[in-house]
Amino acid sequence: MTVPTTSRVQRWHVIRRSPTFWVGAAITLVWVLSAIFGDLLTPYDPLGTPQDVLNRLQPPSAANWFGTDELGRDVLSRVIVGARQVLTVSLAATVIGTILGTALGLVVGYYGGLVDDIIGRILDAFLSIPLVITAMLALAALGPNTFGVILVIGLVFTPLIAKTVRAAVLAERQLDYVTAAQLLKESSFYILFVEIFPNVTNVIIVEFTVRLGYAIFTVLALSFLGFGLEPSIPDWGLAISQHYQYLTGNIWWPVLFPALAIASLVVGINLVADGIAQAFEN
Amino acid sequence: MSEAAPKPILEVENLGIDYKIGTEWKTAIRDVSFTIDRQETFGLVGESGCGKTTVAMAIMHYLPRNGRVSSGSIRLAGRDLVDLSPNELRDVRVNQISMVYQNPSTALNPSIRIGAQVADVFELMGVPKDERSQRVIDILAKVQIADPARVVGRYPHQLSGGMLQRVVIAMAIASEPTLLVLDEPTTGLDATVEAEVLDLVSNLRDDIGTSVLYISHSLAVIRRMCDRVGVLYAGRLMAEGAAEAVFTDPRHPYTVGLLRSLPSSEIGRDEATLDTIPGFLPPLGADIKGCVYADRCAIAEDICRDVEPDLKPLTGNRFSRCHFPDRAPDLPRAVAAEPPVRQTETEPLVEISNVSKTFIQDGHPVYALNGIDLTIHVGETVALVGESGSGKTTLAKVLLGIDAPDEGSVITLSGEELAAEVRDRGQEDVGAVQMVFQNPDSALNRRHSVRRIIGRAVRLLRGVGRKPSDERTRDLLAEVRMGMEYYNAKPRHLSGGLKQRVAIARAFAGSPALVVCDEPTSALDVSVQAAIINLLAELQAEENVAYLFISHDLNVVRYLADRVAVMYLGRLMEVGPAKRVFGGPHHPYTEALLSAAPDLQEGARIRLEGEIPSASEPPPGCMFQTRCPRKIGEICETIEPDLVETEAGYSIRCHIPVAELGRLQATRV
Amino acid sequence: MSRYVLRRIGLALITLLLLSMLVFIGTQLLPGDVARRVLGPFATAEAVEALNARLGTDRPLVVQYVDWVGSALQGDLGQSITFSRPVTELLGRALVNSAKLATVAFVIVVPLALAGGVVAALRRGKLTDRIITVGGLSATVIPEFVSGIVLIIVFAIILDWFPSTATPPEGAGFLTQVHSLILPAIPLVLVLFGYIARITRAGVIEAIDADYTRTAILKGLPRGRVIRRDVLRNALLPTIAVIASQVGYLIGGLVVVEVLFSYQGIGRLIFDASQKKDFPLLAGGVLVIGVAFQVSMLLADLAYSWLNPRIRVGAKS
Repeated sequence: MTVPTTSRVQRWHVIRRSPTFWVGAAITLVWVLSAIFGDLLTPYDPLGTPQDVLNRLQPPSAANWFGTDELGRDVLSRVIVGARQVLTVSLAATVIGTILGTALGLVVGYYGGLVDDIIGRILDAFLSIPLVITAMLALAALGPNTFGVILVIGLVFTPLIAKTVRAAVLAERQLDYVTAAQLLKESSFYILFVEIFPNVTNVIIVEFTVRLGYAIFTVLALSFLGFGLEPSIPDWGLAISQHYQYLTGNIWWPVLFPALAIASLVVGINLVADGIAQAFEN
Repeated sequence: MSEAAPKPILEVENLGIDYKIGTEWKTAIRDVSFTIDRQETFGLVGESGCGKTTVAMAIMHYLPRNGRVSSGSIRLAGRDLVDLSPNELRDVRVNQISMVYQNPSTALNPSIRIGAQVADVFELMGVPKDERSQRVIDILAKVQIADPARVVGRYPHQLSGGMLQRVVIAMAIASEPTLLVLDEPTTGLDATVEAEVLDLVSNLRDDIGTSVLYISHSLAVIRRMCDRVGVLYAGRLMAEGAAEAVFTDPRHPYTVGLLRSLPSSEIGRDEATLDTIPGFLPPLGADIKGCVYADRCAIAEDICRDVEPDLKPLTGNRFSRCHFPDRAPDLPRAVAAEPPVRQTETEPLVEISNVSKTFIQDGHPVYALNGIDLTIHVGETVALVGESGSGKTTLAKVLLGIDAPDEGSVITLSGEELAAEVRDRGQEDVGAVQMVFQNPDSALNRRHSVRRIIGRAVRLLRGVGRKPSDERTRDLLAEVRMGMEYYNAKPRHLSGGLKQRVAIARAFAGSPALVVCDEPTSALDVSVQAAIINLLAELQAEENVAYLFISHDLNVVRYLADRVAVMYLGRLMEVGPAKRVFGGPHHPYTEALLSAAPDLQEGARIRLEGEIPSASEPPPGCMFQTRCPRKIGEICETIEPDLVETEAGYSIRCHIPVAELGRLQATRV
Repeated sequence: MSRYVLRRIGLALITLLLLSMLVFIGTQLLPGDVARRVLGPFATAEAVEALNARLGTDRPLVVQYVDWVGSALQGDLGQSITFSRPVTELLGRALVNSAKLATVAFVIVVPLALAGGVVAALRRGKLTDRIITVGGLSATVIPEFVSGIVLIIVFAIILDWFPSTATPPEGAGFLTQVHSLILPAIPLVLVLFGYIARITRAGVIEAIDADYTRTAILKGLPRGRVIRRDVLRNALLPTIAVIASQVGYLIGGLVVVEVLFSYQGIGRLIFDASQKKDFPLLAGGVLVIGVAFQVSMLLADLAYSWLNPRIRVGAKS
């Protein structure tokens, strides 16, 4: 029996029949829309006004559905626009990591040999330190800023993505069409980018979506730890770290609602990533 | 069937099997019926995708998760196998029915020793614990494993494919089953190993008196092994009957077409083309009202397209699913028999002198090629034969400039020295030496269109712009007999044969002088193989191109090759005109290769003992002495014979004089 | 076999060497002028120079690096700036605490995740499988501080079953210690569960679909035995390495969990060091984590090679 090749149509069939993909896509869409159009939807100014302080830490009510925070700002308004920061930072970091990682993976996978060995070792060294700690280290050294977060996550993703792309390139290199191209005296550049690259795009797409989920996870952890993000911008992780000390006083709303927002966003994105991975890997 | 006939062991009746693809159930097997009598060997033969393995797995009650038996029954010794309880099923598998699989290297648990895996079978049979290890050794000895006491302590990855298949066979016959199912048990093994396994299976079958269902794509193997055969096509049994009758006097157009596609030992490429079967296998689950073969059948009439024929009994205890079985033998040829006319030249084209290639593996040298001298003339076909590991592909890669040979190796093209690596060769040399690969799926970039694949080669090898290259691409498509409808197609839209045509067109983009063909038809079905061989022959006549043709199929080699070079462990053992090499007297290694081919010669078989030695530790003396059935003594073990030209254009590397070889080989039969 | 072991140890050493360079670059090179950092922007250039000379940070980088690595090999990672104590001493105590937390998490998650993965694989495509797979995926991707917060709200504040800080009272007994570590361990367990279960499931499914499993079933072996000997034996072997590789993620998670539950472990220490820019402590902490990770990978690889006949017995002989 011949091995069926998956076409775009078949992939779409797999995705279409996956209920979890659709649930994930719906959740993700809600947060993306609120990140873009959030300002039009919020009942109050998410950044708050000076008078808000008089109204601090109020429990949920008809006026403030999710209550108010320690500065009296409306928690609901801050939750609605809170996705913006994490989504832009994660997306930018993942895009950087994917571009650099793909380039590196293609080159290392194709040339192999010593370059491959050296980069493999550096990669292992990188991977010995958890991403959150690498990011903390770099941010402590460089000073906290949003761009630093993007850069650190992007750079740590680079070897991770390179590793996956490299494996895919190695598999492609074994195929005869590469030999055929060599027999036509094609340049290495042509073989790598015109012959091999189109055949590893599926792997890159899957890797991108999985990494995006992980970037969100890391950005949130960093913001919870108070690293690298502007304190004035509404941010779920920061909101939790600023308010969890109040938990013992039974003031749960400034913490619980951002926590639920985080949970729904990461689950949503990862259900989408999982659906895409299954469609592309089968 | 006569009334006195004893009850058959296996009765398959109106079997239908569906596969769930996406959300739909598609018919894979429809209305298949056959029986196997006691001690009979029944063969199921057909091309890939016809449903052979599906039938076997249904009998084993082990269909894939998306498969189901939709109709019919399977009875073993009168007992229905389709509706067994799990315990009954286990009992049947332990005692009555066993299977041997296509790929022995994955068939055994990699983390359990051989002995323990074989012992399982005896445990299940209820053999007491203290007797089991002896029984294991006995059964391994029975499948002719040398030193079974040592093998029981081995893990699967320590044994060769041939050895593993013996172990699987040992497990299968241990319970002396009522029915033994063999699914392509020798596919992927070297011809010499295949021959041994086939001999073993025949002997064991006679010994324990089991019935056998033998599944293979190879008509030759089925013919050699089976009493009766069934020919499957698109999930239908098209013909059935005694093997002899089905193969010598076929009464179904499909069987006729298949047999005509096979190159035979009597006819060469300059005598006649091979016949082919036009068209394609219908897709799985296709809704076909009439005969499933009507689309491809030259004698089909209206009734064939409207009414599906039954499997009708004919004279001589055989059956054919055809409305016109009597017309089948007179099936018109799909292609004209007239062979293309070739120019005859003897000018040398490529001269390979003293070519060696040493790889370094884990710090040890591996001598993949050793002092090869070979000349390829303009427009001729030189076949390279030998077991896997003999260095055929390495020689091709060196010639193509993919691997650089060792210092001192010289390859010339039309008298000019060829740069060792392709990147140092000029455009003309690059276009002059091209290649057709074994696996067309791997040879074409799945993301590029046919137009792009061929067009790019044209532009690079001819140095022309886009417009003239488009023209030339169309010409090339026409030359490989492909319609313009494929011009913008991607490889996934093409069948295996069409992909191979595209690959051939690419190789011919720059008017090559030499095309290396590395097993170009071994991944293809016989009917497609015939068309590709015809195409290669035609292109050779038109373009006066030379082929270096690597193949393990000696029938194909005999049909196509002008000269044959036999390789063993990186050395040439025998080189000469095809007729001379095949006609004999041959080198003992060639003799063994020839006798291993299932249908060339009947009679006593030359057995090769042991396995091909590692090229990193070649034996002293003659390379072949460790396995040579005609070894004459110490000289073979100490001194390596030279490749000596004993007659014009014929050389042999053996201590035994040619005349003596002739005498020895004449006494066989 | 012994060649493989030597090679593997050699690779680990090279990786650690590279790691030490990365840490050196991150903690000594990137932050810039050490004395300027200590003395602040208003100190005179002479004072900065003098301090640099005293700290040895005016020497060539290579010399500084060799000096740093040399001392580290002798167990001297320098003085912490904020705590004014030897870094090794601080790290030692924190490491013990973190190891306790990690052990509780591993003891809970490994059997649970393996069982979950195996059950999901055996019930492939059924509801149980979907629940374990989707549930596991969701648990894996929710950050530890989110699940940790919910756990604190429910089990520490509302139900009051567990303390909301992980540090047990001085001189607490074994059970009290474990009790106070269970709540902080659960966020780590949730993150690891989905990952290990998913890898296990994939391995088991591969083994179920393998030809050798078909051979075993068609031999007539009972299902339970096929699952034990053919499926699990071959599927669970590679997961050893996967579990070990999760040690790294676990340590990353420790930072968040230890901060949330105010637990004096290595994660908390690194967090404090990076906030207070205590670079000697930070460098030492990151290095120790890297070593811990490499050692666990090494042990896992050695265990794998010892259990896997393909490596233990070598190729054809």
